[in-house]
Amino acid sequence: MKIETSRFGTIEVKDDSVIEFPWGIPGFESIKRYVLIEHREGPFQWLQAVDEPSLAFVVCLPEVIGISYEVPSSCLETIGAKTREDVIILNLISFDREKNIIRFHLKSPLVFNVNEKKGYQWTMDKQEVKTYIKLPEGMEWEESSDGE
Amino acid sequence: MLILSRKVGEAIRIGENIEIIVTEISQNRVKIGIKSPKSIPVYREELYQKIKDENRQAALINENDLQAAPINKNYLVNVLSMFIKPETKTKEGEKK
Repeated sequence: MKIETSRFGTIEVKDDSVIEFPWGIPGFESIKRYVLIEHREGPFQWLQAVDEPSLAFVVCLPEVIGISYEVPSSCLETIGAKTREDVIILNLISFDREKNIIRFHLKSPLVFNVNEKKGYQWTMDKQEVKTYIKLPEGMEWEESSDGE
Repeated sequence: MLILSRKVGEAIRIGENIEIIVTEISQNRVKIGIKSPKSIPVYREELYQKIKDENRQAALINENDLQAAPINKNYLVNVLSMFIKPETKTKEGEKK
């Protein structure tokens, strides 16, 4: 199928590459279908909305910065996944123009059921962060930090 | 807005398959249990609003930003140090 995008023009994607977000993404609840597009050689990808040409996010595997997630069963069940192997996690990336740095949105990862091509945004509070986010070896959460 | 008065142990049912139960009341906090289909995500409202704002921020990114922020090892250490601190003790025999 062909989709219109404001960043990449008209692109051709396989029908079965469309990922459904039944609940949308908070802030963009009405947009339910997305596709992943490689950004050059990586490690980034674009999550492009199928039905809204101007909407695209940049996403990245948390492993790129040494982070991994413990995924609770409630989270798997939300997207109909049975095991951890059925899902992949991608972090939204934003860019801070003042500081000229990118940020990984670690506390609100996107969780994808790879078999059913379904996704949703998982969010965690301060307590949950320490339980579910696995930091690289040799690093630990700062006591006062709220994980920003 | 519909306002209902409930006691501990009492519940509210929304539609066929959502049940909200008051499980504990203290001076300024109420604990509620939610029984709903697993496919429906449940968010705390203030967290939802925060994520919304962050997502809108994320959606402003453009291709030039990615070029301005090359990923390399030093850079990643900087990203990480914004929210975590390296352990003060160093591990011996670490792989170089």
